[in-house]
Amino acid sequence: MNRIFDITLNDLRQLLRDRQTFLFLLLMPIAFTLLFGLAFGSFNKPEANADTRPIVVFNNQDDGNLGNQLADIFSGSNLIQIKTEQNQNQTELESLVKNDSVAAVVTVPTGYTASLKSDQPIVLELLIKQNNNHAYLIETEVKKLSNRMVQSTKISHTLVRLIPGLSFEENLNKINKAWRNPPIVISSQIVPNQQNNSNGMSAAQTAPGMMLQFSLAGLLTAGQMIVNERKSRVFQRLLTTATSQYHILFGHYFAILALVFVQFVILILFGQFIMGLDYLNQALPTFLLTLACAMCIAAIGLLIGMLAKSDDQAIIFALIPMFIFSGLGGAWMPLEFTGKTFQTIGHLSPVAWGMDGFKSILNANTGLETIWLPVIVLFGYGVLFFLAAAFTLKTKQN
Amino acid sequence: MKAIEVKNLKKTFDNTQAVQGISFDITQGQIFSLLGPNGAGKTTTISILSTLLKPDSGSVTLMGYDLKQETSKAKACLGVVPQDIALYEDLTAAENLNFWGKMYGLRGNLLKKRIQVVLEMIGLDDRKNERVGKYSGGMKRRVNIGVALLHNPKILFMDEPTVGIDPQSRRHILDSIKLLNQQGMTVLYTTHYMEEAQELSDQIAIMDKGRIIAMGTQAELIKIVGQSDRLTIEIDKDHSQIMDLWQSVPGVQKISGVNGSLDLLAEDSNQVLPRLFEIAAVNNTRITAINIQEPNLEAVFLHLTGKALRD
Repeated sequence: MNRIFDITLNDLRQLLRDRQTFLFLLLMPIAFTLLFGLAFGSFNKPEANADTRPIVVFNNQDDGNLGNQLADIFSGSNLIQIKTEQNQNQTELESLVKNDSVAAVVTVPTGYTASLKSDQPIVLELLIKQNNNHAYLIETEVKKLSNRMVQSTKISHTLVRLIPGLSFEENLNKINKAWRNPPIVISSQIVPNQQNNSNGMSAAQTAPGMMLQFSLAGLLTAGQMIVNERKSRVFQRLLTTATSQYHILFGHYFAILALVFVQFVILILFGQFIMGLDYLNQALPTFLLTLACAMCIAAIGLLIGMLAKSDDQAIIFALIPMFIFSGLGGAWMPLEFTGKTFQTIGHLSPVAWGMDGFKSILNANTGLETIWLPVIVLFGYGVLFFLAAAFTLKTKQN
Repeated sequence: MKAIEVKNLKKTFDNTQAVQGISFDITQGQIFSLLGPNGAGKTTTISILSTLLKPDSGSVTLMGYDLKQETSKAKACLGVVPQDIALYEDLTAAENLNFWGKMYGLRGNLLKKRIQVVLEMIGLDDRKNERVGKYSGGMKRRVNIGVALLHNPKILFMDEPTVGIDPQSRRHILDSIKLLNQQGMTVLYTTHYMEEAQELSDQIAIMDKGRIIAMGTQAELIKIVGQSDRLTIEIDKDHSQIMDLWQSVPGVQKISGVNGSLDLLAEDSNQVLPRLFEIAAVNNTRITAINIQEPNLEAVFLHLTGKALRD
């Protein structure tokens, strides 16, 4: 083990003397994150007490009074913000959604009251953009609230049938009032997506995107170092000592891993304290995901070093995966903006899994449960790339 | 005791037989030189002996350890000075020696002590904190050698360690090798410089095309050619025409030529030279330079292969 760590420390000493290392590992990702941030207005921080719930227009076309009762139920939601609208036509409402003025429009159709009274409820119409970050949340909340109304009318119908003389509407009112103070409350809230802007290019997108992209770009210095070791015959000389090729392989791997991990830590702290992104609220998931990303990227670096025959090749071999993995993996633009086929192809890139993990940490606040899959996939990719590097070395040795 | 025993070593690359069944052994404390032109198989042999290449067949023992069966014990006896400068150019000489010392298993005070000893031996103690990349070629070569001496090995392999350096550094290196040998180190030295082999070696093996074509002490090898003189003659025309005519001169034993320059072995240069001039004059060929040498390893090589070492 001593030999492995001696090689690791020796590599780190050389890498830290190379100015290129700092350029690619720290300066460029910070510069590009700031640049993208300014370009897409990611630094417009919301006010401290601002309502960050997505705005949903409640378009009541009902000709009875149950539409208004439904509006009351909707306005009690702590996940969506209701804006009541009656006078705008369908085209105007659609354009509100299209230009992101509001997150969605819920239309209560004409005859809604009548349909509930006849115990044949008609469905509400929901207008929402597919790629809206809150689409799933709004759909679920609208479904839940409209079901509450439907369930209330069903109970009221049953009670009216059982207790003669009971008024359907009075009874329904009482049930709906009772819902306002339910016996059990499951509390949920939206974690404010601190720097989300209208086009989805939030700091929560650009910061991890640039971090992942430039961790790949930074591999060129590590790749060059390994290539030079072979070219100068240092590698062969090492093999004349008691050092094996596996000592060398692991020694280089740990050096790149340490470098990439430290790069991630610095950029995460930059995001946390300069850009106001809250990675540390999810410290354990952030640590696990960072480690998995670094393990995967370090293995790619090792493979580049083993495959490249010259300095120039090391640069090309580092830049190609950077562009392909970053482009496909959603580091430049959220994959949610693309079609399903592209999203599937994009997830062949380890960057896509890293992005999924970091975005779920920054946006969804869901803890460990949503980062397990990215962590496992990234670890799997890491093992795969490492084995490919070991195989390449073995082949070259033979 | 035999420090190195090599038996019937063979190595083929694709269709080229780089080493064709060579055998030799080296007594402990000797300097043994493999002398031959580029491509003779010297580096392949030394690469096999230093475990970088696997032989197709044959066996090697180093200090009694079989290289195949007891690789790590054999490696521990061994210091290798490769032909290339195999150092980290971004690190200082002291940092390089520190790293390589660790690779040889040295730690703590012993490592520090050995680094100091080696720095003094290679004469770079005062410049140990400069990056190797900034050193001259000769200084790099000295660090390259120093690395192999850190663990005080019993056997030292040196693969053409003086290629491309200034005379002062070459002298320093050759003197260091003699000093190490006086301290009991066994040295296997490859070179294509005849003078180095002559100066350093207790035993010399002459290699050509993957084979050892002659082996022994310098005196034993020179006996092969007898007391022939070696003549190097330069002419103003292509050598091919006059070469056949000179070959027929009584006393000329061997002749080879390249680009207007001819190498001859002659029993007595005083008797042969007038006849050579005569033939040259008849054939309108002007002799522009002559060099006469007493019998040496170059002459042996010419005698055995029909070509000069530099060809």
